[in-house]
Amino acid sequence: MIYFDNAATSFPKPNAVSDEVYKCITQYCGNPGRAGHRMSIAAAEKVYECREMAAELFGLGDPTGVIFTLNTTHALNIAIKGCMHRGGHVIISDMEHNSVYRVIRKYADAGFIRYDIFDSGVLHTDRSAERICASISSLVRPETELIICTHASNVCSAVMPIKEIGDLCGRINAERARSGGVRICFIVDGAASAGHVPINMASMGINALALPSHKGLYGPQGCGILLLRGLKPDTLIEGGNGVRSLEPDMGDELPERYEAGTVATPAIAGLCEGMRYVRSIGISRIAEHEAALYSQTLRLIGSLPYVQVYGASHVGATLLFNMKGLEADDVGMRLDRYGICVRSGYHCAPLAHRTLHTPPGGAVRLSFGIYNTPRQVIALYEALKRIADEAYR
Amino acid sequence: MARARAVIGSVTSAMRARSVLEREVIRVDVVKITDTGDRRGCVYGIEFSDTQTENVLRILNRSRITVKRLIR
Repeated sequence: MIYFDNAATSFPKPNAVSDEVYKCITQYCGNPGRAGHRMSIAAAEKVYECREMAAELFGLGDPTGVIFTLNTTHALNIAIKGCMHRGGHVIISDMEHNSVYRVIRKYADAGFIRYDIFDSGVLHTDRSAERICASISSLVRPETELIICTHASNVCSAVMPIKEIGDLCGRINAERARSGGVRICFIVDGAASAGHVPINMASMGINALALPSHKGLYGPQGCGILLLRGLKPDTLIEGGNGVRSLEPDMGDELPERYEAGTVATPAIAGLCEGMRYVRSIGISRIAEHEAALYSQTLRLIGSLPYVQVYGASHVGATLLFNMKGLEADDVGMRLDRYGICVRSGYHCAPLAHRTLHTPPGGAVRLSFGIYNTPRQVIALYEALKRIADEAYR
Repeated sequence: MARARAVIGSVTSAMRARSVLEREVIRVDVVKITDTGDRRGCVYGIEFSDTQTENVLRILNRSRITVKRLIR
């Protein structure tokens, strides 16, 4: 089996991840932050170790700003809904996932907020950070309070100029601090970039960063992270968090303010080892490996006359393509018969597909990870040629 | 040997306090403390040798970790 669906969830996981999940479940899976006995404290120690690891890996510094969530979507919902106000204005990119787009649309359709979509220039030959920032600047209004941007697209390998957008937010906020205007919060969706592209919240000016455990960080499913920097959104859900139990509210203390109910300790334990693994290899080295696979794939399948690649100039972990005359789902099913796992369709990102001009039915996505090899890319190329022989004869 | 307890807040804050102190080679245990006097419910803190109290308070203060109450 060849697995090219790492953007949906990475596979396989490093042995250290599954070993730690098993160890947690069998040896120290008390409820962290609920009791004072050794099992509860041992679980809390592992959870805290994971917070420290994430804070260091993503340039946050303070581990109390690391909040564990169910997944990236949950993390984005906390950040977005907790920062929006009635009458506010939100700016999002034209490459957003439904985890951002549907949230914004729901509140915009209800008349609670207004929003605009900026042009990320994914298909422009003269794409630049300056041009993207100019596109954002032209949409900023006095009531703009959120700029939300995916870091790396989940359908192609386009990466947004996060540092430049963060700098832009910083300049606007400095001006607004003098004039008494609304502060803009910069929220970044790191679902497709964490573990693939270096991220530093402090130097990039990110206020809230949402990440998955189970993709580029090689942890288990069932856990996400929201990292907060200089931001304290309203709570999304309320409940027990193990502190100040006699008080009727969640309190201000991070991260427990946002962690109502028991966190997924085994998943967090696995994520901790996943991040350790990624750190031991180095995100830049992982990016190089994935870029090499991308280039090889583009060279091979791009030479096939019946293959169309979308956003081909963006080299990275994700490659989007179609075979002429075939539905994306059909190609996906045919590849599965050759033992190759890919994801076809719209990838929960209709905005991105619209931007990339994919046809009805979407496209086929290949997404690479640490464990993919050049030999697997050749196997894919051979399988596509056989599929073409079957389909076009 | 006499032990002292510093009431911190959530288990994460108490773990952070422990992490900071361990970097200064001061051994502490994270403990749950229910009755802290302010009657707000469960809270976590750290327990350490009473002889280290001054050091602990100084290091936590430097790291901007608030000690809500000291129990000796």
